[in-house]
Amino acid sequence: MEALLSLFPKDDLTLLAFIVLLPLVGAVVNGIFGKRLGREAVTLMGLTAIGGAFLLSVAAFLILFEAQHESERAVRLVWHGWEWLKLSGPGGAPVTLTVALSVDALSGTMALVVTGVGFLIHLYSWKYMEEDPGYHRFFAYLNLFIFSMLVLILGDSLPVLFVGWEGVGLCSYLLIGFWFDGEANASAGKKAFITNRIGDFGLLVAMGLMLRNVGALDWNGLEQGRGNLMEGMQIIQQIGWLGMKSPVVVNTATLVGLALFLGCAGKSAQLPLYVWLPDAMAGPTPVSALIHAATMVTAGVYLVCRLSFVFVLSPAAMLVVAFVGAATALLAASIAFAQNDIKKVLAYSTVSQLGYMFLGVGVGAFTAGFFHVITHAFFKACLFLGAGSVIHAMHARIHDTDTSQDMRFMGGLRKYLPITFLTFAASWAAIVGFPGTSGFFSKDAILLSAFSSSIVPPQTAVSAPGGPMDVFLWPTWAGSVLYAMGLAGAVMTAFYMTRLFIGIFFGEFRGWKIVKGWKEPEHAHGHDHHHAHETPGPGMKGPSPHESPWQMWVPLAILGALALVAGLVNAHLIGIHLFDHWLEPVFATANQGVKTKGELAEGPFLGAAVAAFAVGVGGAYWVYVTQKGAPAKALAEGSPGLYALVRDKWRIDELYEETFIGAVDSLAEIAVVFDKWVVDGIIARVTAFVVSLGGTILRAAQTGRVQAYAFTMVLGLGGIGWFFVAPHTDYRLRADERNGQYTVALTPGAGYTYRWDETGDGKWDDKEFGPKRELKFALDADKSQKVRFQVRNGFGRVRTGELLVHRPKVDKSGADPSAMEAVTPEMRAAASAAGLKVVAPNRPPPKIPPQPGLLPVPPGQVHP
Amino acid sequence: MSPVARTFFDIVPYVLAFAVAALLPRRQGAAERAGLGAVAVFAVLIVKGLWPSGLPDTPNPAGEWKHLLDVIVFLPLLGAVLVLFLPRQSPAVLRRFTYGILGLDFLASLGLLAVPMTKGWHFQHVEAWIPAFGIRYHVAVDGLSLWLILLTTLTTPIAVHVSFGSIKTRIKDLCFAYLMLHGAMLGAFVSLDLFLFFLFWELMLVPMIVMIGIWGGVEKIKAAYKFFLYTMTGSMLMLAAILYLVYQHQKLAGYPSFDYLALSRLVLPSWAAWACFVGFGLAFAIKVPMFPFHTWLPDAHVQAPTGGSIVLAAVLLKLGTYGYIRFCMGMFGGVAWAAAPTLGAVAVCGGILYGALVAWKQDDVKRLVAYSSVAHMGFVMLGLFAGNQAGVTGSILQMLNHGVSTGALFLLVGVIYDRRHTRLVREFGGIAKVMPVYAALFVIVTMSSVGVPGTNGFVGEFMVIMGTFTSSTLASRSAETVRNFAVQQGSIAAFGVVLAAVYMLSVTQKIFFGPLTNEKNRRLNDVNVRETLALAPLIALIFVIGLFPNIFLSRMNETTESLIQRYRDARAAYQARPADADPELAPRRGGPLEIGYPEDPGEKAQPAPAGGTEAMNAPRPAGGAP
Amino acid sequence: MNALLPAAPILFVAVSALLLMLAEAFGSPATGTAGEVGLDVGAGRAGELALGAAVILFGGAIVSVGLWWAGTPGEASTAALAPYLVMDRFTLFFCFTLCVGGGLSALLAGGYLPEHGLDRGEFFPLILFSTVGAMALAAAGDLLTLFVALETMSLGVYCMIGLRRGSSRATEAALKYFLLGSFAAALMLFGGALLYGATGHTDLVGIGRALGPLLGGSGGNLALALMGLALMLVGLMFKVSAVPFHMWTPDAYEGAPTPTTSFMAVAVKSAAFAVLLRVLMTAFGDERLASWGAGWPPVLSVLALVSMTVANLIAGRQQSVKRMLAYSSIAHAGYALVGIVAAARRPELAASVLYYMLAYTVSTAGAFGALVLAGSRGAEAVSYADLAGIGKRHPPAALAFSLFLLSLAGVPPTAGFFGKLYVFSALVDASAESTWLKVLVVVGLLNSVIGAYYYLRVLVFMYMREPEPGAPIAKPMRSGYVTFALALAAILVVAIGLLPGTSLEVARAAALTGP
Repeated sequence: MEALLSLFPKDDLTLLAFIVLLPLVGAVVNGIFGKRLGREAVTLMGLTAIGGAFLLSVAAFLILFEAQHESERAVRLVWHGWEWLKLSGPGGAPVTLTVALSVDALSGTMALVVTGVGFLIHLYSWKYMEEDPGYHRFFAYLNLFIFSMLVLILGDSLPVLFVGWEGVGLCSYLLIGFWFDGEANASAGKKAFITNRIGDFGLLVAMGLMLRNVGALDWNGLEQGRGNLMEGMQIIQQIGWLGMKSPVVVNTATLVGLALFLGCAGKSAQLPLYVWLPDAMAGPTPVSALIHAATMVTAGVYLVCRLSFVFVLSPAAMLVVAFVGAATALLAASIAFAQNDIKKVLAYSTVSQLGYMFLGVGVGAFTAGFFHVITHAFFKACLFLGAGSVIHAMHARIHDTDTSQDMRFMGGLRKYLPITFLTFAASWAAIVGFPGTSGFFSKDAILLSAFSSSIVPPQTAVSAPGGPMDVFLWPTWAGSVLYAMGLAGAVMTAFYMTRLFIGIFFGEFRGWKIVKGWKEPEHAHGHDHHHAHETPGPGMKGPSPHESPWQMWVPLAILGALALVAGLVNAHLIGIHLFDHWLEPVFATANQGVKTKGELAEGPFLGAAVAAFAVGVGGAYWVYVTQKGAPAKALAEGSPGLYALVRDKWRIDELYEETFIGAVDSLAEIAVVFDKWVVDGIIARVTAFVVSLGGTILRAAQTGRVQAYAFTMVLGLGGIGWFFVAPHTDYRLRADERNGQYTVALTPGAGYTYRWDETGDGKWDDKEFGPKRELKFALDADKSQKVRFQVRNGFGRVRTGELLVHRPKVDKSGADPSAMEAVTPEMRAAASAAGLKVVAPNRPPPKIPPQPGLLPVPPGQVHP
Repeated sequence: MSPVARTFFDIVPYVLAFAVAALLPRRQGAAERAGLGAVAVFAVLIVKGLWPSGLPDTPNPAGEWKHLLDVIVFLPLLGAVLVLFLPRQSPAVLRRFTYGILGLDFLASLGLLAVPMTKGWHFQHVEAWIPAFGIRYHVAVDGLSLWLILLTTLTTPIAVHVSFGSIKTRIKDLCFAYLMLHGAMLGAFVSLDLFLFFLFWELMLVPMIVMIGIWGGVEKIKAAYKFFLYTMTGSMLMLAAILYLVYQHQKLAGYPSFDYLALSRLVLPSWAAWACFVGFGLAFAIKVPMFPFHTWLPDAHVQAPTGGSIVLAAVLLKLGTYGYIRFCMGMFGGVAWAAAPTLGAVAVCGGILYGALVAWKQDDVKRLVAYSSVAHMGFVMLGLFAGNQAGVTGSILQMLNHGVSTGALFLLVGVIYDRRHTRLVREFGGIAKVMPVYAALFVIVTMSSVGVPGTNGFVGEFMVIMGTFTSSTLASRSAETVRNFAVQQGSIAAFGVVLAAVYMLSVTQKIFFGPLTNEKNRRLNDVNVRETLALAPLIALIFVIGLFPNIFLSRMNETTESLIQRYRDARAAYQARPADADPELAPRRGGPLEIGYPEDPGEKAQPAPAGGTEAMNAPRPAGGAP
Repeated sequence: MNALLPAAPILFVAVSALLLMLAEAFGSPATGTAGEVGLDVGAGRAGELALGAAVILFGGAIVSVGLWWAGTPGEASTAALAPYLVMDRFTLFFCFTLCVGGGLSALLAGGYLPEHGLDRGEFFPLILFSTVGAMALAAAGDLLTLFVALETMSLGVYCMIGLRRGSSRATEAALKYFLLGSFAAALMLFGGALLYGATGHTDLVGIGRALGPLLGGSGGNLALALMGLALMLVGLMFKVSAVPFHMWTPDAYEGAPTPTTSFMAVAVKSAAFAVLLRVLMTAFGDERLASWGAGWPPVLSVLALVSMTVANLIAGRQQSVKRMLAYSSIAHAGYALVGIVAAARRPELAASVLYYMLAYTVSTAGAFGALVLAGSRGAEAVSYADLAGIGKRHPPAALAFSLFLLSLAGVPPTAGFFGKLYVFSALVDASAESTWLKVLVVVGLLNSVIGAYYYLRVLVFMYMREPEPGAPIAKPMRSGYVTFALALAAILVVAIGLLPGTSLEVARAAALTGP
């Protein structure tokens, strides 16, 4: 310990840099030289990199533990890298972004999980990917992913987190499309990236809003300046003809929360952006386990926890988070009922579990939600790896990705894959909430607080343009509804997971009868296949599935064990609150905004949870074992429409295809036509056409006949002559508006004489035409005057003209600057100046700045 | 630490970088390895050499050799003239000569980094040229033009290198065109005399047309006309505006001057200010290009040879944005401010969104990239309209980014074009199997163009978007909707990032992934030495800018600060004075920004202060007002 | 004698022209010239004669420069010949310009005539005498001299156009030009008569003085004076070929042998502008005639606008490069008129016209020279198609052609660009209070975009187009004279463009002392 501290002083924890650096090195080396290094070297590089990262994060964890132990408040250890950018905050005050990493209880724990599970999965991939031509590429991507994930977790400011955030997206893009020569895989990768990008859009907007109101983007700065978010913002102007009484004004904090949650929904596959995750199963199974189950997809939950102090400012946003989570949990679970591809089932169960986590953090139970993140990481990773092992075994039989993942061809595998069976059983128990397992505790905690806790609006009114605006209040019915949804979800989860479990491991092995699904190895490109297979005979003979090598079952064993016991660190039932206490300081600020219905008897809830587990599992057992699946068939045949709908995932993808994507697509088509024919047409084509047309027409006059030429000359002469003969009344007006002096000067001309009517009353000032060519007169502000005049030229021809002079008002400031200045937030620049200083490295955190947004509230508005 | 050890640790990074880069290529190619190693060492050198020392910069006029800019600008022009006398029959000589000139020019331009970019002008050189008209030879750099010059001197050699690979005919004309173009572009970036600027601005046209028209594609001549006429129209309006400014200065100050410093003191009645702003702005908007004047760009790009496209995208377009900052914002700040919200909306909708949508539907890769640059330049302009530190600095950086990534993209497109003589997306598919390295590079550049963090693209776009959000300029109409207008624009701009991903990833997938269907693609060979060497610096820059943008930003900050300060003053003045008050000369600011000011030849003995560098030792007291 | 000194340039050229004519008439005939030997002794000696003529004309130029530096011809010496010939700096400047233009044309002829079988001697005396006429025209301070000089110049040109007797086009062109030219001359003469009738003066200064009181009053004499002004204007506009008095230009330019065309485009136009300036500023400079609302400046501004626009629009549609250049010369007349409009407001701005004519002279002469060089007997370069691919076949010709065209298009750093800049800056200066003139500035500048299009078209054909199989191809000729002329013109174009300092000062000095 002391050695560690002496090696890495706390004030600038270089250790973090090394944690991040190792996987990067691994990625670079494997990516560039992998092909030449050979498999062993690549394996060594990849495993040591992640293993090293794991050990270092353990070290960091210990240091942190020490620090937090001695000071009873939230501790954040920072490594200040280098200055990255300068932005400008409110009022143009500079905001410096540094490339800085920091670790606190939350990120420290997350880092442990990521590196730990990551290491196990690397180990697993060693054999699993053994014969893949892209072996080195795979490990490079995997290491790169771990690197990005660690940046995401340890980043000390939102932009740095964003680097990791998009980095993991990129890696998942690369890994989903790992076997890119299959069109489907490449498309799945693209889909994932773009859907994530939509989420990132939300994140960018959130950053913009925070920068604009708070003037800081790092955790400390945001936490101190968060009060500035309590300000109303008009998002839609009042549109009278739409019958709008007033412009739509919302709390900036709500906007920020929703924008952030959009990002989370994209990354963590929540409604409406969950569609990419099931497709992402096109990637190799270890990828599904690591990225799409254990780590990356939980980044959204991590972000909500990380910025919990911002979310709690807006009950509305929190409610949205909670309900979206619950709805996602239900929807995904319902889809999982009808899937036969085991990876698809697991994928939807992942979506559903993520829904649980958001339900948890949505109601302000950040610890519970995050706890579920961890337990889920264990059991879901284990489930996926187990599935991988099953598929790997099935490949002995079938050389077709789809078929080898189809549970209709499995069954009774427990005698072929004992270890896989055991570990799978353990994690199955965890996910269905078998009492005492990790999943049971975490899910129970979430359900409990879903019912009991609610978000209290901060004790401030929102300063809106038209006086303070009242804040959204947490509805009283929300708790029970959310709880019911969660419970239903629990039952469904238990049901379909049991269905999966039974389908894979119990009953007779249905894989013998596969003949049609058979493919020759060389046809079977585009998926993971190993082992030299003896050519199978038809019918009943052929290779039998068999257990995987130790590199594959050891991780299974570890994860399975964790899935069983990990719950004990936070088993409220038996009074263990280690985890709560560990994370408590991190959520201290946020928890001020969370209110729980006093002390509830845990008994009924416990009973409900167990009942849910029992009903789900029992039901599934009755349907698929005792009744041999008859009721399911009956239901499917009974209402084929519904069944088809569920099997086709409620056709959500098709819906999006039709609506959003279709809309954008046609918009683009229109834009292309518009560009070609309107923009280019008008600016380029029409102009060119007019010019050449003019040329052609004028050219026609060039007949070549001398008479015509002479005639045009005569015409010209006539024109000039006429101009000289006709009198002209062109005038020039010299105006001095400051002093209101005006001078009208008429054109001089051959034999011209003039007379004036200064007042414009129709009476000429003097009867006779005279030489007076200029008229001077004065005018008052905002007055106008008509002046008439006559010109007589040498041939006695007379012409009359007039003009109207108006002297405008003195004040000329068109876009009045005062309004603009009122808007530019100088006063808040001062306020957040303190908040800004936080960003600068090695500065003590300042006092919480005076926040004009924080006004006392009339008692009526406070939540009872 | 002992000095030996210190020197050791100083050397290690270079050695490492060289080793890694030299090990990169899988095939045995001494030239390639050495070249890549050199590039890597160079990258390290840049990062280490330019790393901002926390210390405050102190101007160091002694270090500024006032003829450096003359050398940088006129070396290529001289070279172009000399090329005319070289034998047409021996292309090898011509090639080497061109390489030599451009290489020297690049090295010379590195000299600009020698001094800290403090507020004001550097390497200033002023000579009387046409006293009767007050036209002077006045060149200087500041933090704005510095990086654009370096970008130019870096990309042109790359473009030339590429062209020599693919173009085999009329090498002499090619060398002439490139050198001419190079000199003209550099000249335009450094001129502080509007006559000089206009001269270089027009001088650029001819070589570019020649390049498109001679080595271009099928529709080359149409494209050349379009390019020429669009640009010419713009520049004629600009000329009218210049003449008016000069006339006003003559009337007010009593002596004519085309000098930027003098003319930017003019305060015109608002109709005149608007007219001149439109005159300049149109010229620049066409060059950028901004919607709806962008349609010349796709044609020009599609028809131009690869090298031409690279220069066009990397540098030529930047002249538009550079001009907008330098002249429109510098001389008509008030009007520019008043126009900013509207133009910002145009940049967002007509540039970022519209460009992206149109790009998505293109089936010719080059056309797609061309429209993508419409979108990217939309970001640049948006940052300028935002008019705050983050926005302006970000958009200057984004100019470099666009130069680097789009240049690289055109280069990569050129690679398959040379092999297949088509750029239609449907002709390809799954070629990542046969060209793995090429695919990897393409994906990297794509990510940079999409703006994935860690690459250069992200930094620029991020700064611009954040600048937009916090901009008070975009938000400057009536009370409340105002700052929300900035927020709306920022949000839409942020959404453009999504669209960028859509079109770039679609094209990447169509070209590289999926099954390898087209038989013609089975035997494509991967990028060769020449192409790798051309790409290496750009790839290196993608990451250098992405990870250490500060080494670039730190050299812009002081300039942008003073620029924005003056922009704010102009805005205030514009709001203060009545719309049609008589034109007048703003009082002299003095200070480093006015070194080299064209004094009245009447009242002073020696005509013009001979170069800024001496004067800089004793800056004139602020506000030496007439 | 001393009195004649100011007229030295004119006299020098005139006298040596006589000598050359004698030499041409009585010199020994060239050996081995077929056909028209006997009739024309100068046949086959075009080379020498061209050289002689060029030497004489450049000599004239040098003399005028010398005279300039010799010091201002003060009132005394000018008065000696005044008002018939006013040998002030204005005149000297134009003498220089005219001599240079004429000399370049003569050199072109030296290459062109032998190449195309027009190898006859009389061309050179004619060009010399025409130039004398042109210089006299520029110097004319009296209506009589004006008319005589005008005719002296024109007659020579008529003959030079018709030089190619065989070709019907040439004769037609000559005839058209002759008919219309005499029509215009008649109008001018009539106008002069009216002015004399109204004022009792034939000398411009006198007319100017006498008009003063007339303009105050009203009645017959005023009417006469105004009609006189209108008629004079028409006559001069015809010579500068401004729309709508331009119709003859394309036909005459196309029909004439290229050196003649060049001479017409260069010398005749410059001389016409010289006399136009002088007449307007001296005789009609009264503010009531040079009035911004009702005098000749509005007329000229309209003519200028129409000239550029119409000429540019039509020129864009031409197939023959020669015709295109003809229209471009009309357009340039329009640009130069802009300068005169400006001069009406501030006389010193007339300098822009002087500078413009100088720049225009060298560029146009160069352009026609390049056209000459690009073609050879039987394969003359006339149409765009003829020039296809010449950039590869004959790089120097193409390069020179491009340079001159860019100068005409007004692309920096050429003389043409600076000329245009000067003219339009003058107009901006003059347009302070007049919206119409501001519009004129913008439209004029936009016009040069259209102009740029058809100049660029030549470049496109020379460099970017390959000749269609079977299409006529111009085979470049080899001629030292033409090459020399081109080199000289190119040097001038670039020099005046890059370092306009001196020429600018000179033009200003000339303009100031001018009218």
